[in-house]
Formats: sequence, C-alpha cells, structure tokens
Amino acid sequence: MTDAELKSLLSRMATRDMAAFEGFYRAMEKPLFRFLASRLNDPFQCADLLHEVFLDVWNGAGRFEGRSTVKSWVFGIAYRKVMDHFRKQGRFTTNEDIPEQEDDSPDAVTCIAAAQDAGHVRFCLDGLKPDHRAAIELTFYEDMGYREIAEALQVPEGTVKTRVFHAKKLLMHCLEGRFGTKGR
Amino acid sequence: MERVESSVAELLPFWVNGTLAADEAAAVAAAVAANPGLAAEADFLRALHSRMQAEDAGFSPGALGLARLKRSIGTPVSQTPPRTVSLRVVAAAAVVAAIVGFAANEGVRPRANTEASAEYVQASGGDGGALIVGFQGAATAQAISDFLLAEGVIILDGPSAIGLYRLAPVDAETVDLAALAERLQSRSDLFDVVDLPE
Repeated sequence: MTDAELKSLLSRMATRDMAAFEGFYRAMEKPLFRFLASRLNDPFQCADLLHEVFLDVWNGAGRFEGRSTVKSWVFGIAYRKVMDHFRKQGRFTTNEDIPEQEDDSPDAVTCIAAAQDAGHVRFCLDGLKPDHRAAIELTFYEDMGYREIAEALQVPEGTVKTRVFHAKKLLMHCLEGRFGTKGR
Repeated sequence: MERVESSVAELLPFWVNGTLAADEAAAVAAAVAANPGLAAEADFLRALHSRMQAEDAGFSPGALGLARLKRSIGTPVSQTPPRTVSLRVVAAAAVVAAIVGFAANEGVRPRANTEASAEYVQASGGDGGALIVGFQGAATAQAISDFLLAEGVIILDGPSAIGLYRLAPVDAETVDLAALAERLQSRSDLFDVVDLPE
C-alpha cells in the first residue's frame, strides 16, 4: 500500500471510519508485529504492544499532519512503545558505535550464497545490536528510506546510514562465518 | 575521494531498496559501475533484501487482534461469523490462532486476583452466549481442532493472561449452551475448565 493510500485511510480514520481502520490494520499489522517481535521475543507482549500502537493510531489519526510518511509515524510509535517497555523493565540498549573493521572485507560471493539460506540470515540478524537491527530491518523488510527511518527512530539521518552500514558489515562477517562452518 | 566512496557505501542499501532520490541514485549507480567491489556488495545486498522480503511475519494476532481493538474502541464485534465463510475454515483458523498463543488477553479478566477459583468478567461486557474454557496442557492442537469443528464451536478470543478462552457455537440461536458445556466437560482430556456465563 502506498503512502498516499495510507494517508487517505488515516484521514478517514480521523472521522471515525471503522472500515478505514480495518483496512489500515490489514496493511500494517504484520509489518508492525514483525518489527515488535524482533525486539521483544515475547508474542504475548508483542500482541499487547501492537494493540497499543493501533489504539494510538486510531486516537491520533486526526493529529497526523502528513509531514512524515505514515510508515515513519507508525513505526515511530511502535519503536517508542518498545523503548518504554524496556525502560519499565529496567532494560536498556547501548548506542555506542562499533569499531570499523577495515581491510577485513568478507567475500561477497560467499555472503551471497549464505544469504540464500533463511536460517543463516535469521541467525545473523539475531546477533545484531537492537539499534543496528532496527535500522536494517526497516531498510530491507519495510523498504523505508533513510530519512523515513531517521524520523521513525528519532535519530539523525547520518546515524541511520551508519547503523545500516555497520549492520551490513556485521551481517556479511556473520554470514561468511556461517557458510564457512555449516553451509558447505 | 575516499569520503565520496564512504558516502556511496552508506547509501548502497537504500539504492538496493529503491528509496534514494534521483540524484543520489545516479551517483551510486555510477560508483557501482566503476567499482567491482561495490558491485559485489550490491549483489550481496540484493540477495539479502530478497531473502528478508521472502520471510513471513510469523503468527500475528490477525483477526483476533482486530476484534480486540474494536472492543477497546467501543465498536460492537459480531460474535457470529458471516454465513458465507466456511465453518471449517473459520473454526480451524480460530483454533490455530489460539493455539499458537497470539491473541487478546483483555477479553477475560480476573475479578479477584489470581486465585484459581476466581470469577471472571468480560472486559467487553456480557458473554453473549460464550463459554469460558481452559485447555488441558497435554491436549494437542489437532484434537482440539477436531472437537471444535465437530461441535461447530469457534474460539472468540483468548488466551487471557491466565490462559482462558471464550468459545461460542457458530449457530448460537439453536444450540443449547448448557448441553454444549456438558459435552465439553465430558472431554476432560481436552478441557480443564468449562464455565457457563452467569
């Protein structure tokens, strides 16, 4: 569903149009659930947070001004819900950058072969830090641009590009290692 | 020059997912064409993108989640599925959704904290002809599914925070709820709790 279509649904939701809400739910439920699930690893908690996100969207539809894409806005709500949840639980994530691994480029051909295997990809995504994982998942699951992701995660655009860059490097190293030990 | 290459490398994932502005995309395309290393990385990112796009989101709350939202918003939720939908499909979907455990947990709330004998009240109001049940831990999804399909019963929502579900007959107007509750109680291999609405 395009951003224009999602915005149209939101504007109808602002007038309490339940059919529009159902359409919006069908379009966004799975992507949002995947985003929450990859962070929380608890399906019950994910279902609760998903519920809260959609309630916020329903209640805030009239306040959406269209200055960002709908995906940025909605994933931003979901991201803040996760952060609030972590804070309540006393969990926190670190934001320090990982050191560059210069002159240690994994072999792209090996990585491409490993990337064909869903199990390898899932394993390597699981090993990423939450910030890096969120950035690359929004890039490749949701096809969001770096400006959209920056708005959703409320960080500078450069930070998003750096996080995705590092995530890519780490995934390549991980996939190369997985392929070397298990893929052949 | 190094700075430009670094910038291109950072933009590469967004070139692959097609979200760059035209001028940025042109710059990346030119750099990739001139640099085999970048081209190989782009190929890797395309493979990764394809793999991630092919991944399913997993078992999300789906229709049960929407029903829960409607209750929270205050919109009446139909408890009888549309007649045009196959009973088998509806019941099977409800069972699968419930068994995997992604469901609303506001539908049933304990009135008196955590005691096993606590009474329950529907967050959405009255039960409207629903039974509240708990499944035996050893009951298989297949056995539960077969029984519910045979009885023409669907799971309205659940599990609650304490693992209870609300069930209702598809044909609520003709089914004797008390008799149905007795049949459920007789299947102690499947149910450990069966309560009629007050």
